[in-house]
Amino acid sequence: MKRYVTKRLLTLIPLLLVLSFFSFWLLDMAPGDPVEKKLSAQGIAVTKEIIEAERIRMGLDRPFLVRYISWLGSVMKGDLGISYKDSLPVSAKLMNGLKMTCRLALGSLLLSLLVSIPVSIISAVRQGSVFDHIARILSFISNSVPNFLISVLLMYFLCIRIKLFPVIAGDSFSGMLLPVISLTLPMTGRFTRQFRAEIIEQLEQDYVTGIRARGVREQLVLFNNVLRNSLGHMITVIGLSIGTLMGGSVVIETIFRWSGIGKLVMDSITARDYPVIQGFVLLMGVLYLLIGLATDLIFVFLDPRVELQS
Amino acid sequence: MKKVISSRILQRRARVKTTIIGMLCILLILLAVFADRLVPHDPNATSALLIRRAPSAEYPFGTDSFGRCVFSRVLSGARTTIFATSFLVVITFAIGTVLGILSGYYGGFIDGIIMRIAELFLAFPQMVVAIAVAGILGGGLRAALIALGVTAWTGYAKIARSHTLSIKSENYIAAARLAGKKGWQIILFHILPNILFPLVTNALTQIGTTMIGISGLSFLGLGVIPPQAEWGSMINESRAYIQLAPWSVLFPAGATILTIMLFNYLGDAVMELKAAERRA
Repeated sequence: MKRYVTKRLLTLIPLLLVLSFFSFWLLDMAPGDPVEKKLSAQGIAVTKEIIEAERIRMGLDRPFLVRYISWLGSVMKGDLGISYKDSLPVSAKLMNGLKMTCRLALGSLLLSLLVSIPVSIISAVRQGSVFDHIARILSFISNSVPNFLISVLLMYFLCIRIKLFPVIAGDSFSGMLLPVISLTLPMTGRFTRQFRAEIIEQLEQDYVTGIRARGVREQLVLFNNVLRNSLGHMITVIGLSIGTLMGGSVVIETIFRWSGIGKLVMDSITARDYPVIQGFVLLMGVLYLLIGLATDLIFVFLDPRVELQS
Repeated sequence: MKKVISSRILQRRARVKTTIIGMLCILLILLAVFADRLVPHDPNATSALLIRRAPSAEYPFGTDSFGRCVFSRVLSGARTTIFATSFLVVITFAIGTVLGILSGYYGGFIDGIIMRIAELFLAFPQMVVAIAVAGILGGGLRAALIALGVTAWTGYAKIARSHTLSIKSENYIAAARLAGKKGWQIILFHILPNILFPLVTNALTQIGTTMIGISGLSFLGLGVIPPQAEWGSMINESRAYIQLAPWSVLFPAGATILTIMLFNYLGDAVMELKAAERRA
């Protein structure tokens, strides 16, 4: 176990380096001159002298790799640079957004699991029943509808036609409900489908027949063996869905004006506030890598055979 | 005896289902191919006299706030979405399959490099990278496709590699090698046909995901550049006046949902057919 954890942690280092290099390079890739971009984002009239002075002040006269290394050094200290738009530190802006996004994303993840786990268990155990059919149809539909469409349609029917909810998401329960549902529905559909398939696969294994033959109660087989063995797979599915959740929250926050990190990045794209976009990629990438690490470790913890294979 | 018959019936049912869904998908693709000739009006022609007209015989899906025919734009948007999706799915299928087979067949150094690169691309959240790349490069369908494609090929590569590994030591591959066939001949005529099915299934499930990705990026204004018709961007443009002209949102929304469902259902049906055939 210890060796696996060390090995897994070591593989993280090159990935983090590539991620940081990519984020840094992204800013360089942006079309146009960075000094002019910064000054015009702040609304300053540019002359040749101002640009030259700013270029030296920003350290842009140095070669690419030198700039990358000094940038990486300040990133390590938690300094992601200064926003072009309002000169606030990028890290503070991102953290404020992240707090709001976490509420939305974790709420949706929790709701998804609360629905999909019981539904997929019942569906798998009573394969072919009416419940199973309905659950399969519903999960198929919710898996096929993009989340931006769910939110636009929910908004139209619930906020405008029936006037049940406020159009702009507030911090209240009713304001949070629609964005959470929009994020939850596609995820629930995907979870239900994949959990159900995994439980059915486990139920068809020989060991289940063996335990049943020994007269163990069906419920005990289900909870002690089948679900326990499906757990690792389920956690991998959940971990992989975090990336989709990150992308999804950008869309949902933009639609419902939820002041999370997704809305922040879309506003920054409109304002050409590149350091914020760069910080967003870096932060989301690091989070995604850490979540991947956590799911892998949980997987090995639950099923030590994996460690031996790798 | 009874079991044999019932699995035969299941198989026939799955076959009929797959054929029907497949034909509907082909019909949809044909609609997209001939969209230019089928549109009753120019999808980009604006008219100040026809702003936000309700659906009528002349304009079956109504008009939007520029007076453009929504029906023509939905048809023309089908072309954009389906062409972009097929393009991306075919390219990532080809690249992923070739790399995966090379990786599985030759192993060693090549395998190590290809799989490390795949892991690298899988390590980053796709939509986040797509939004950032498209946002910084300034959008456009090409940037969106590149952003979605850089991770999509890895799925095919992994499937192709594992299936190549599992058939590599079969007798018929050894026989082909003893008969003096070259590496590329073995790959093309002996390995590829035998591992094609799981790859095609993956491609079918990727169609829906890709469509959701492209329309999502366009909805954010990071995909197609207006006035080109695309469902996601149409919905985004029209949602501001959804109270006044709900048809300009609801029709492209319906088209998106229907198309994604149809292709997802095709993927499910093909997998079901394979399972039924295995049982029969």
